[in-house]
Amino acid sequence: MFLQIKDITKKFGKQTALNNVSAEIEKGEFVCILGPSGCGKTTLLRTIAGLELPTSGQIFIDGKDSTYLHPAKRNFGIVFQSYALFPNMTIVGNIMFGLQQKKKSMTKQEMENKALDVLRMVDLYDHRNKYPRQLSGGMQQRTALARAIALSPAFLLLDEPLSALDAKVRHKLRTEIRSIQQSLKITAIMVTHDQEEALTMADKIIVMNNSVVEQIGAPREVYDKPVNPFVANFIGTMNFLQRSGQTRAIRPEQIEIVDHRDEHDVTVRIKHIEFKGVLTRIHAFLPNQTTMIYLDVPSEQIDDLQLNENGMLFLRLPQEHLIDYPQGAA
Amino acid sequence: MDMLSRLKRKLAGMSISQGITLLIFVTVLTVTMVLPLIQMLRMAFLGEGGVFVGLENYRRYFGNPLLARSIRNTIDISFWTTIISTTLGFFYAYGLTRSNIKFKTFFRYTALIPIFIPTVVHALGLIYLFGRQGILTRAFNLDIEIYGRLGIIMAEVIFTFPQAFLMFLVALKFTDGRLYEAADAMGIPAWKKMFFITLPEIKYTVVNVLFVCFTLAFTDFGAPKVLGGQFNVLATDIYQQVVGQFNMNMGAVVGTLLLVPAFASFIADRVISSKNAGTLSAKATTLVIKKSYARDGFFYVFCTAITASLLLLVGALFVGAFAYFYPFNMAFTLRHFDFPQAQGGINAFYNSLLMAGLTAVLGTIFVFVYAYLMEKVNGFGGIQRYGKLLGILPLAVPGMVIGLSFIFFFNSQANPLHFIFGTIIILVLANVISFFSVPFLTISACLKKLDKEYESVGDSMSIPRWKTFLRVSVPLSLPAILESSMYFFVNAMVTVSAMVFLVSPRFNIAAVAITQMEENGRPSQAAAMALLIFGINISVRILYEVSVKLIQFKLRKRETTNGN
Repeated sequence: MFLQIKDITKKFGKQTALNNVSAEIEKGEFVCILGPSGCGKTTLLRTIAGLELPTSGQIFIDGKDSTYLHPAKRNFGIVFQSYALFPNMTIVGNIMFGLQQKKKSMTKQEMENKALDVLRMVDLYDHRNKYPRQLSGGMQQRTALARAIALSPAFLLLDEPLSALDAKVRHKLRTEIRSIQQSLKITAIMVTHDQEEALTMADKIIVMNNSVVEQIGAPREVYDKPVNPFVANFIGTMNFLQRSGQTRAIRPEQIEIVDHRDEHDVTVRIKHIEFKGVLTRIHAFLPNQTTMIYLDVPSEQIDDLQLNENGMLFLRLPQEHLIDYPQGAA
Repeated sequence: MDMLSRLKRKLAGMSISQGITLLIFVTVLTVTMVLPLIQMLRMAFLGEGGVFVGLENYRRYFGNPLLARSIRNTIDISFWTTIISTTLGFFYAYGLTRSNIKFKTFFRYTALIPIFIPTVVHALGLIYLFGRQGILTRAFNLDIEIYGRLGIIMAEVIFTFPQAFLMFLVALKFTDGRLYEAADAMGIPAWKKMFFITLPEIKYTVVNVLFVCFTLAFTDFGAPKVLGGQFNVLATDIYQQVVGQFNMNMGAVVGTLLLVPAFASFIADRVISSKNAGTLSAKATTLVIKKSYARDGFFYVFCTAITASLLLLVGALFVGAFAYFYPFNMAFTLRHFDFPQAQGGINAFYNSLLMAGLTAVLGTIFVFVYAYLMEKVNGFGGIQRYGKLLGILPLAVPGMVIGLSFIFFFNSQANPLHFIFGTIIILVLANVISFFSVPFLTISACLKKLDKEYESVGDSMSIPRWKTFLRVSVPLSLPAILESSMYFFVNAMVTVSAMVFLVSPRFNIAAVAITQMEENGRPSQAAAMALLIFGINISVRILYEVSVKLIQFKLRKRETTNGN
């Protein structure tokens, strides 16, 4: 185990930002801390970095108690949403600034080679002599990434690195960050509020809400077996049905449309058909007329189904995909 | 949690070296500003031989009809100065922001002329224009009694007008054009827009301007010193009590009276700035100024009149300085630039340059580090709150009071810092303290805008804070640094009020020398010295403007060449 977060509580005055948070992170893992804004995820990252100190609890890095270790001694690289590039230094200057300080054993030539190496890695070699503001947001963030990895840190911290970027650039950078992380086999911890980002990039997701950890697990696990309705709802969409004394939940894409009604099947009335691209989402009312149920159907099948609003539909909820929660949990 | 880990946590949150630096800076400011002030306050309650006498000094002061009259005089001239300056400043700024007149840049810079010369010189200029042998007096056969109330009010208006104008300029420049467009769409007439949109938008500025003008006029020493005659005001009273009669305790009493409007102004400003924060939405559109010949015509006349008056004032100085023997022999001469040795000769000017230069350099360095410690260091909440308050406190302390409290504090034999008395060090110190707040606020605002993660990134790369400070924070704040240096320099060149108590015969400075030369019946040499100050201040201002333009140009070049 590379990093252990143990019973961390962080209070700002009367406000509790982290409430007894524990997590373990293995070497080389890509971990996403996922949660809505204000849930404490950035505070957790800053506590790991040593930029904030916990009110109580401990942090172990490589087995050593590092709770009060100065940030400079923790050997991490960090990337912020705002990039935080030094605007008065060139791209290569930004990277050299850290190298000159930390790698005193290197000759100037070695440092320059190292800086140019990382710039090649993020595909910015041609822009090395420009100033940050001459580059696009995506390029600036790649510079920040290059600056962070140039010092060969033991781990990488990413604080919503993609949130300020356009959708297209964001998708491209996801893949880039992930592949660089894998090729360097470096441990990375990224904070994000974007569930899709977490699902596509992470080896492990730490889901947080209201200052506490709700669930820790692989993306598949968190998606398929959310431990509680919050996680279920925050990641993807979930239908909750009250049935025979308990709450049962099912994902929209797991629901099947059937021609003939079985005894376990349900009849619903279609309220609205929403085209979403590859999938089409059907909003429908359960027989009680108040509970809404959503199901996703591949758009290419929609025409064959001949659906119309206010029409009736038989749905099958496969047993193996139903998740049970205590009654009233949703 | 046990004591040990609590202590450990506390210590880990702070950097020891930053903490020590912070403590040193706050202590320096406390010793050089707060302690002298306390000393002055104490003096006000002490009698002969340092015995505590309670309010006895105040009773004696108000019991003396001559001295009590000074208070009425001071309030009287401050009141009229405030009304006139605020009105003129508002219309001048309005003309420059809300009309389509041309030559706005010219008008803007000319309005700043009074800032570059000492207040004594405003008075001197008035004497050259309206005095018994004044240029205008002779030309138009005028009979204006320039010595006394009227003259002082005129001089104080000249002194406070640029301040009022600048504050209104900032307030009127930023407005949301959509408000006026919406009003137009509803068919609201111009006068209603003025009373229901424009004035409410700048109401805080109006209050601020009123306070600032009143305080400046209330505490000014230069103009009443020259023009006062039999018309005494508080600032000249202090001088008479302290320098003339060596009555230190009475001086302290008057000093505390000077603090009253300054403190009221200070508190008003604090209350207002807490209310006035960030009212303009980012979506605000710029105001489109409509065509109106009547309005533009009015402002052409108005702005030209003001500008002409100010240029006339400077022109009078030129006449005084270069005419062989005004008004009898108008031949050109440079003989008035040969300054009397009693006032230090030309050395007074060199001394001023040295003092202002040191004030600019040391003051800016001190203020910058101070503001950085307040803004960018974590974990010293209490000391930092105290430090920030200390940083803006000089706004409430008039120069006269600083000068006075410095005498009381540093001239005492018991003070280990006594050795700086009578040297350039105390002059520089008094200037730095007097003009501390504006640079402090400018630099703090600039540092606040810098990404707070620069320090975090630096920490993660093991770059020591002092290096991040020198390589990132300082270069990025260069415009604010230049502005602060210029502000320190220009003010140190012109200020008289704190200096009159602190200069020594061996080390005189230009602004004080002007006052003395005028008193000794050498107005031409006073005018010549004034022109030297004016010239150097204008040069420094130009140097500043050019540097800022160059920096902006360089930055724009960095940003506009696209990198794809």
